[in-house]
Amino acid sequence: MSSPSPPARQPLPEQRTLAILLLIVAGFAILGVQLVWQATKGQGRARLSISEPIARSFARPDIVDRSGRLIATDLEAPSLFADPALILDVDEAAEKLAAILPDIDQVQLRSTLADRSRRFVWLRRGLSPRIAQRIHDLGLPGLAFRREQRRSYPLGTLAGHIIGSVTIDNRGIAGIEKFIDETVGVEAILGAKPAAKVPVQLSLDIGVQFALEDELVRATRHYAAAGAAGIILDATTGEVFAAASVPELDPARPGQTLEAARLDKVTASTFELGSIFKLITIADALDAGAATADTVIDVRTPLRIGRHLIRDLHPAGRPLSVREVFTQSSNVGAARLALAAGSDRQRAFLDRLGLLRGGRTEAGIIAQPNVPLRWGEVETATVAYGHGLAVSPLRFAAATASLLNGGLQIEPTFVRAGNPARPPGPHSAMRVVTAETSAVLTTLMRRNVTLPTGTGRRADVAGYEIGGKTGTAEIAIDGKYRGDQVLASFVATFPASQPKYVVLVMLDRPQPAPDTAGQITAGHNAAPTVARIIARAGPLLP
Amino acid sequence: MARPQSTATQRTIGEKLLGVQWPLLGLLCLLATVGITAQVAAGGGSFSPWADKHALRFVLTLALVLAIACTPLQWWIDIAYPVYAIALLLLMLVPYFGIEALGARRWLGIGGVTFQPAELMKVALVLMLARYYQALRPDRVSSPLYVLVPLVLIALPVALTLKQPDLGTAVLFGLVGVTLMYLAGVTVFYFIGGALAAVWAAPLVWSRLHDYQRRRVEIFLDPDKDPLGAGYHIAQSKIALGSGGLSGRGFMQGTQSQLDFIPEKHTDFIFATLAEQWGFAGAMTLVALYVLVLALMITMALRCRSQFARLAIGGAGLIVFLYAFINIAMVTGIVPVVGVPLPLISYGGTSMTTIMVAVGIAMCAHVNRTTPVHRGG
Repeated sequence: MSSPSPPARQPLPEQRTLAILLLIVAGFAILGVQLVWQATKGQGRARLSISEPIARSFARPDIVDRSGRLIATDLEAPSLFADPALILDVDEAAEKLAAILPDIDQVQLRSTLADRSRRFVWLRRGLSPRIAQRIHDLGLPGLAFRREQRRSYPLGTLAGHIIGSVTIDNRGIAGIEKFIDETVGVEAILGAKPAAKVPVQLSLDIGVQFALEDELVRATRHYAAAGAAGIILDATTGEVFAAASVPELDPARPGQTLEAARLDKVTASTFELGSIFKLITIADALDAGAATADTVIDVRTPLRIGRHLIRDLHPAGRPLSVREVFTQSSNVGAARLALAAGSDRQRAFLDRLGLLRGGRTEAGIIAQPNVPLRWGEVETATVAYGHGLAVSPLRFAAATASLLNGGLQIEPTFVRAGNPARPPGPHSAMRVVTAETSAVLTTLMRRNVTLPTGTGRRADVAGYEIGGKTGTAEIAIDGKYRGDQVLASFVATFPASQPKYVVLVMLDRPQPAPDTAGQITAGHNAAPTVARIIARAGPLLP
Repeated sequence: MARPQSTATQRTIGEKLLGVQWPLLGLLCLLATVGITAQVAAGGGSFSPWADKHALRFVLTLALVLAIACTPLQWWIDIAYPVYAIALLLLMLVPYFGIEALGARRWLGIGGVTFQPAELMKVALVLMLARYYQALRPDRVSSPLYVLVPLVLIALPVALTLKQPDLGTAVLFGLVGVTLMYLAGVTVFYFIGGALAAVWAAPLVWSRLHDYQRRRVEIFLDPDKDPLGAGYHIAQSKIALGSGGLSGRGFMQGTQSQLDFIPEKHTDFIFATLAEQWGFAGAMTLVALYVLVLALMITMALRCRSQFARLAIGGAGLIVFLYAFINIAMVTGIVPVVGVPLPLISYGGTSMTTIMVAVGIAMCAHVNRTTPVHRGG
């Protein structure tokens, strides 16, 4: 330093600098010690904390029908995997495997087996025992089996839309299977341990379900329809005995759900259901005291609202009583009743019946209804006879049940009461209409079948006291209603003396058949289909 | 002392370049090479997106070091106070005009260019303290008033960065400042007293910390508390160190880094990816490189005649040391996670510029080591 500092302090800067050097060296020494520590003692390998370890699968409880008959179960099946590091000759292994599994992707198989950095790779899950034995007999090192639980559906496509499906790891992805994953719970397993859980008992009866599906398939073919759907439920409890959508869906082939035609028509779709909605319009008028069954309505002239003209298919040419509006299915009559009630009350009533909401059941989401954007006079009038408002058939069936069972609201369910999968619901059901209204409606339904001129006369089956209402809704295609493309539906209840069951059947775009006299209206196809279903399934119903 | 015009300014640029501490620059090149290799590995074996830019930045900043080395030392003495004032002003502006990122406000944007005033402050603080002690008569170094002034000047940036919040940089400012005071010859009693005061004040500081800062300290003390959340960084980097073992997994063979388990694998946590590939041996080699750099800088400091040159070199060395030490200590789990990069290895232009400017000033001081500097003031 060139400064005039005292000689005694001269070495201070050097001392201090060296002290800092010492500190620095000490600091790095600490780092060194820590590095040794981490390098030797530290965990050399990452603990893989992926939520599901490799090659784990799931054991699922069985699904049975209301009588305990098996619908879905886990079966033990061998799954083939490879340890590429142990494969001696990739070409040999690939060729021999391809000879036994002809549909396997050979190029991919070869590259998989050649990748020696992997120690575990699935080649095929869920083999049949015979195929597994043949692969085993190849004697190839590096190939081995693991026993897994695989879901199987002994009844094939029966109730496929309700059952849903599972992934390759046995996880539910749709329908009741998904409900099991979310609510009942599946057991993660290594190997092939069967599930310990109590089976999930559905409200379905496989006998009734089969009868319904079989008749719907027959009707689809007979009337050359694009599809069909049907539902049979308990009018007092809401338990669904059978629900089917044609074309059917195979739970063992989840890929089928991608086909638009196979979409579940019962819960996942909405439809303008047509004249069966008149049941609701009349129920509203009766329950509000705005009309009785004998109130006379002028239906002589078509109803004009703005530029819209509402007319009857077969004009009566005279005033009709409410009773006759129902049995002759008068659009003008229903529209006039709804207009008298007003759109607010109509909407409130539909809401009370659950027709303005979606919701969900154990089998999945119930489709949201398509509600008119603007609910004015025209919409009030058209909704009165089932146009302009599209609802899911399941919701409509439940609403019908609520109207006819004495007037108490029910929620549809697919799981039998008492099963652990279904927690007991609220006991006090909401009333939607008075018992008197309910009784009058049932009488109207029955009358529509018994009258020689009733639109539902072809639905009668001796001994079952069937009551019902037809609906032939024109289908809107590209915004235009077409007379030759209709949705024919029939809603029925029986026995009329004390409604216990509600049946709803829909035929999508039926064509004239030899026995329909050239007609495509519901009275000629949907009504007789319901008769056949009840005749077959009636004896099986609990 | 009588000649304000030093002989240094009369030397030619060539002569000055000859006087540069070339071994130090060689070591820096070696470090940067390690950095480029590490960036290639982090980029999955490709020069883009990181390694190429890293290399370019190093070459540019290396030229900057040589340019600074050729400047007259007196310039730096003259601008020391103004630079500090500007840095302080910019730091004060950050809360109002700063750009917020990840819950902290650290960046200023001027005409499309963003930079961290804190980086400027690192160099400015060293310059300011060196200038201060250059001017101070040695017998006044330990008198209370003359201790208080630099303490306040250190405390201001510390407080401002704590507010941002940036705990790592605040600690760095404090350590650089206090160590420079020690190097300047302030009596050790102040440091002992200060240490006691710090112990006493620790609970108070704790209560003022940001939530995430507090959690980092807690997690640091017990990383297993939250191995998938806040303890994730430390847990993963420790696994990488253990995975590397003594000899490492080999270039680009690190499973932790190649599989992206390590967060910030090319910036703050690059040491973990290096250690996984090259093992304990590689990590220690890197640490040895840093020790060599610092040893060289300290010998440079010891050979200086003026207080300014000595403290400037000391300060530059401290910045390099603290960066390296805090970063490695953080990755190995000795100190809590703070965002401090590894000098010349981590990707990022800001920290590289800061370090190279500091090294440049140190180099300038070294070139002019025998030049007597007037006390100034």
